[in-house]
Amino acid sequence: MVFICLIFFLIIPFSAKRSNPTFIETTVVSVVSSFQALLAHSVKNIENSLNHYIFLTQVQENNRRLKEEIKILKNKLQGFKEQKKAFERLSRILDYKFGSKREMLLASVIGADIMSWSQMITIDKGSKDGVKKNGTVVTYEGLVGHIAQTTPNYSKVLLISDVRSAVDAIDQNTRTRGVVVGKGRDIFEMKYIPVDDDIQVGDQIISSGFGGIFPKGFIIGKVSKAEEIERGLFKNVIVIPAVKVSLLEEVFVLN
Amino acid sequence: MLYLSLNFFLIILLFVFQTTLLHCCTILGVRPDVILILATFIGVRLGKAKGATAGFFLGLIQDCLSGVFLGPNAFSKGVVGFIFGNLRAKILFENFFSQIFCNMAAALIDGAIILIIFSLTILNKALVDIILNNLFLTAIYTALASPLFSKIFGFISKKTSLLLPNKKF
Repeated sequence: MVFICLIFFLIIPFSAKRSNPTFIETTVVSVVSSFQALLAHSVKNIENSLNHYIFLTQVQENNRRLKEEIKILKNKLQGFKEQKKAFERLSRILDYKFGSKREMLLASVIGADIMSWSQMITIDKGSKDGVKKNGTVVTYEGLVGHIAQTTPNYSKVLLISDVRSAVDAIDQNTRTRGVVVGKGRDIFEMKYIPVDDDIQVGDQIISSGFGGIFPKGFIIGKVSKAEEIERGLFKNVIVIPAVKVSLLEEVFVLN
Repeated sequence: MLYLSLNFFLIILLFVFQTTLLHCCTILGVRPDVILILATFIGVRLGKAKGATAGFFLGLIQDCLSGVFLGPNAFSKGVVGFIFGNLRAKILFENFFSQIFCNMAAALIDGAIILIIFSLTILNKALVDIILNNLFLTAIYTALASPLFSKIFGFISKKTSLLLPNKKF
């Protein structure tokens, strides 16, 4: 026990100061993630076989394709809305096109986090594929999180629902700026919205581009509650995420 | 060497299980901590020294995967292994209710240690609040799942001699 205490007090300062994962962390993540990937792909293959060959093959495929198209079109619509707003404000960024200039890398989600209070996922792309630390992770529906740790073949994504995550955001209608923080489950809180601001329930919240990690214009969610706090300076604003992080299967990594 | 490799492989499978299939059993944002159940199981079966060592290494792997910093889980699981290794003579671990009680206590000890370490090292009140909110729910869920997993670990060690060493290897 004394030995364990000694090692513990030696490890803590060393690991707290590190900026990159240690060799042991990289090795463990790589080994476990390989098995996670194997299991995830096996499960997906079995699921696909069942869906495609046992059930109504054509209808299933059409349905999936159409849903994907709707998601793509929604995403495009979102981009156009943003462009319109930008023109209206006589912005000089006339050539801004939502997401179109960025390189997107498709990755599969292969595992969840080991601790239930932590909102992280493991994806099957790593530094070998060009994934970099702090890269933005999105889906067609909106913002997912950022790359917290990379190994050669796998990466860990800190989801925006994690309490350690904070995204500088704006209300798409009122252009009010705030900070969206995770609550550890499927709701976010938008902080620092002044009490006199007219943010409304149903307003779309998008990333503002400030902060250096998340690019501008990605959907975060919709306001589900905006109420004044008695004698408070800021409103209590709750945001429902656009992306159901617990149902993620594939994501895009932007570098 | 073969024994160690097979044990390592089995433990890796357990971590894969915890991060993939067990994710489907998430209720109210928590899921049972199978790694903690194993640390308690080894402590009760093999005593304080081996229990603490096994707990420490299981926790260290958990820390490597958690993306935070190394130490909290290694220390807490080491302490759990040590405590239940010390109590092994006083516990009738085969008993269903005793397994639930022991694992509930183990989860509370584990959660409390992690909570203290995070409170002292990470200046994020929200994270500490989340751990505190999940503490009792995780303890109950882990305790309820423990008889099943203890049975599985017992079965594996009996049939293959893995997890708990004997003369087979």
